[in-house]
Amino acid sequence: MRGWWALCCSLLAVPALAADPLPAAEAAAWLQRMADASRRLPYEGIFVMQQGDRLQTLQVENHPAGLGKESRLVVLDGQPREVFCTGTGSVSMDLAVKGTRFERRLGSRHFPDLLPEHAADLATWYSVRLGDSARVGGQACRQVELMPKDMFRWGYILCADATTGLPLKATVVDENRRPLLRYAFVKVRQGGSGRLSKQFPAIRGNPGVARQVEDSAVEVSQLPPGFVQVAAIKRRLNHRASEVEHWVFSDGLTYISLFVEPAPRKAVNMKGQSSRGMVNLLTRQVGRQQVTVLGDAPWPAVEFIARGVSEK
Amino acid sequence: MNKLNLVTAPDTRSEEWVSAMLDGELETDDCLQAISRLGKDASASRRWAEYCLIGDVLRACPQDSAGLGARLQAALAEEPTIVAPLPSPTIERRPLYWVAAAAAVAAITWGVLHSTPETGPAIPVAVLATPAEPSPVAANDVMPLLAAHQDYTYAVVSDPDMKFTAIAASEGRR
Repeated sequence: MRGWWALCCSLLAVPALAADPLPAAEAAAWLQRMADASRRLPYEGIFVMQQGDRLQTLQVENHPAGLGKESRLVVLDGQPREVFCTGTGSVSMDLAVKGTRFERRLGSRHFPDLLPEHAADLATWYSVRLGDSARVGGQACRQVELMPKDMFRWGYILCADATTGLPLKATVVDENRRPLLRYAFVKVRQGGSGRLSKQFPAIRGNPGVARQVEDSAVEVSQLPPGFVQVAAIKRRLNHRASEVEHWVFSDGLTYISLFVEPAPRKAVNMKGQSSRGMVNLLTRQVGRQQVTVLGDAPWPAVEFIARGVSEK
Repeated sequence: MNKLNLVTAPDTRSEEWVSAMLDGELETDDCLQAISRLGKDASASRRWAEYCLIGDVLRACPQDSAGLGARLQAALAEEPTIVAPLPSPTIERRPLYWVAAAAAVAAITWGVLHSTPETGPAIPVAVLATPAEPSPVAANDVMPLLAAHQDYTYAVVSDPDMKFTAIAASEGRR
């Protein structure tokens, strides 16, 4: 009898959990609100990042700067490290190395600033649903689900601050809603002094500068819907004698890289996958080139792009 | 001549008739002649005694073994040292066993194939060549690409635990 009641209750609860997708305009408004809050609001706090069995704790502070923003992340576990981010890139400081080692990075995305600048456009490729109210890091928030309309991207379940819209929690999920990557504030304070507690490091020179790809040996004939090329650069990498072409495709939330380099004498076609399946990779030979497509994307997206690569 | 290759052959002629007599292989006349010779030839007499003793030991008969060790030592000391490559071991061939095993496998396979219910006409199945596992070198070559990808996507990353498998070239082209 108790089991019968539990079944009835669970059936009644399903419609409440599976809310209808928001109308396009309302979905776009929610997305843009969350994206703007993570850039334009000053905030500081501590959040945890869980990927697979790995857990990392980071301290973050963010302040608007001109048209963009400046943020500083401090890795609190393991090797001491700090990362300074602007709208155009980031600099990682490895403090464990004698004399501090600087590493310039092209990416600057970090929790809670995960959504693109024009986040409203995502509503074309994701169904946006509002979920239950919750409480994260001592703050009330509202669950917002971004579920892909196709098989080319992962889903996101965010919890946006009830007042400001700042994402307090984010979970990247697969097609079965199994978590692949989680972020959550443990403690957060919105508002602040308006400037970073530590100044952005001045780095002399321009290490790792990349050149634009002007004439590639390959071409890409197809991309998953919503993906556009956001970069095509030539760069030097470790264990490579010559420069490697690095193309980046994105829908604003999912990033997929294509690397083009001369094929080695004993080229191996192979595929790779991270333990939870979040990162997928495919390497194959195209003419005299070896192409590698990899990204934090489902396998169909990686395979789709790889199939579209051909020799010019 | 190289002394190392010297092989001194033992005088086997006296051993042969002693051994043949002991084994009962001599005719009666020859045997009588041999017995007569045995009484006169000290070396042959000694060899006769040793052969008898060895036979008794092999048959596990209780024997008075006094002096056996000393005699064996002396006999070994008299044996020439042979320094020559050992003959390569020959593989014992048992063709009948292999034939029997092959016949058994063929019979089982035939039985399994004919006991499977038929579901229709045979469907041609494409067989992909078994791909080789990617070498650690090939997998390691990919890691800088992974780092470069992450470099573009996130400011803070952790190295994912990647597993690689080789695929057939045709699979990569599909």
